[in-house]
Amino acid sequence: MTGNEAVALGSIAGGCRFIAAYPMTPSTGIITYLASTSKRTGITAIQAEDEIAAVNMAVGASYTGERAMTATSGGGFSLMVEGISLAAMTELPLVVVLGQRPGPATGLPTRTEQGELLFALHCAHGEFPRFIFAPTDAASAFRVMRQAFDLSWKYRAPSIVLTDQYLADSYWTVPADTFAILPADESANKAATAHLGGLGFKTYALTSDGISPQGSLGSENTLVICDSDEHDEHGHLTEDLPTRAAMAEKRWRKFPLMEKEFAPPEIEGDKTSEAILVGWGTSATIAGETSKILSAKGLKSAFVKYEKIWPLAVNPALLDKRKKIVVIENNFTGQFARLLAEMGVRVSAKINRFDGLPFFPEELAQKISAGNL
Amino acid sequence: MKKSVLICGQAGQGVQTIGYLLAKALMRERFEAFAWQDFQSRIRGGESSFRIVFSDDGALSLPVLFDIIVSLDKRNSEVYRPLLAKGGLFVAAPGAETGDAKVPDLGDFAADASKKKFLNTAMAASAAALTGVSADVLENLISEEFADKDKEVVNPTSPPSARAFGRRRKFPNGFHQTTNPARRGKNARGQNHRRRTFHQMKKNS
Repeated sequence: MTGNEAVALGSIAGGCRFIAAYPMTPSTGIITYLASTSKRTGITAIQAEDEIAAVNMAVGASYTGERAMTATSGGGFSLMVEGISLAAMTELPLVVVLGQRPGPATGLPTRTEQGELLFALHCAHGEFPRFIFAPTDAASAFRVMRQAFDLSWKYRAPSIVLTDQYLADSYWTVPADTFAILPADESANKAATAHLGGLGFKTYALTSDGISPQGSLGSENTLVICDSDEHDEHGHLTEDLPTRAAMAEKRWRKFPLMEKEFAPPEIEGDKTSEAILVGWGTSATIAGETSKILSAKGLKSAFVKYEKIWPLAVNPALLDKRKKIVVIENNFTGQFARLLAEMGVRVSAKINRFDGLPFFPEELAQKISAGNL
Repeated sequence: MKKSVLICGQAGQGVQTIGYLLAKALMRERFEAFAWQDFQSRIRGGESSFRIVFSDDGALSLPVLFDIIVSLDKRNSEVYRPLLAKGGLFVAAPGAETGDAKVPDLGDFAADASKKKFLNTAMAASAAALTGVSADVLENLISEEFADKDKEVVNPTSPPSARAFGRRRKFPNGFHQTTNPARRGKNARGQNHRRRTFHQMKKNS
């Protein structure tokens, strides 16, 4: 199946009930798959008039209590960021798939790149906690989408899923057991159903963990108010500054709990290796394949595959100053290397490709074994 | 065992169709297959390729050079011929040949203007024959994928692969060995194969 089909299937498994999107390579395959299967799944799939409408439709669907998503590429994501900020302020869960391709602007529409990691991390006005995922292959895309939905609904925070053309348009062989249906994450529904009732419902209750009961538009005998302005616990607009501070603190109280959701990825391969190849998203798969080639040549090699990007969990081995950390990514500036450096990792070398083509592990292995970093 | 095939041609010639059919057929022959699409932002013309790697031990990334290149277009033959591995096989559709290209005998599929639209399917059959995919697997697949198309395209009485290269003929690059009868019904880990529900979902949707 294609990466886009794996993303769509992961969305179905994640309980998605609504998608609105505007077509943009390389993400279009997601909505076309969900639309073509909608009679069987019951998912509502809407091609919106533009990306601004698409993201706001998804936020609106989320207000009704349904799991909702949108999907786009860099240019469309630029239009969506105001809507993502709206989702953050209203604390309405939302999953956004960003299919990366070379930019800026229209760039190389049909080629691959990983140039929007820091954009996804910092996008939208105001400060708010978020999850960022980057599936490494099709099986990973299925797993990640399910988790993106579960965690977004558990914490009432947006999940952004970064794919790229290499993942989205490629055909992958996926083991059948990948699609085993896992039990639903009950905790994700708990917040939505607790404390419902009456006109005094506090959808922004100042809870100790920052997670307030969501409620949903149309709940029987319950008034659920959401507001893009700063608001009080009931959702009413407020200019009361201590309330503003309390709400900001409430939103950020969720972040330490969100951090605990992601364990650091394991070091794979030969753990005694001095060099550790690090990749994120599809470049993580490349790091793994390159490491296997190096091992086959009798060279010590280890690798780390990052599919859960933010909150960033760093394996302690990456902080070991004796290790040579090599970060592989499809962009010019080394965005993930920069993030790792901010977390205290001393990056020894960066391998970047930004000509629109994916990495070829044989080429990389040759470069690494020759010491040409 | 790991082998690779690159199919190239202009946008609109059916590069994706050939690649998709071949990759899926290889999967049905119990290989793990991975395929990447390299195409330009245009509806017709230009250069595009569909690159497949298949293996009995995992396939997640691409090689630099390919064991087989199948070209549908002369310009693409020139562009992608440098990606042929040493000892590899370069196959071109009639009229697309350059240099050392081998051209399969496609009979009517090349000569008859009314059948030229089936050239991509004929070339898919040639590529499948070269990789050891059985004619049955390919014919079933074509019947499924083109169920709503003209019957002529799925006529099993004249599989172009039989004329092009022969079903059982040996090839200089070892591809006649790629279909392992002992693996029939097994996945890459040697376990009994279970039909993926995904394909049924896609077909029924």
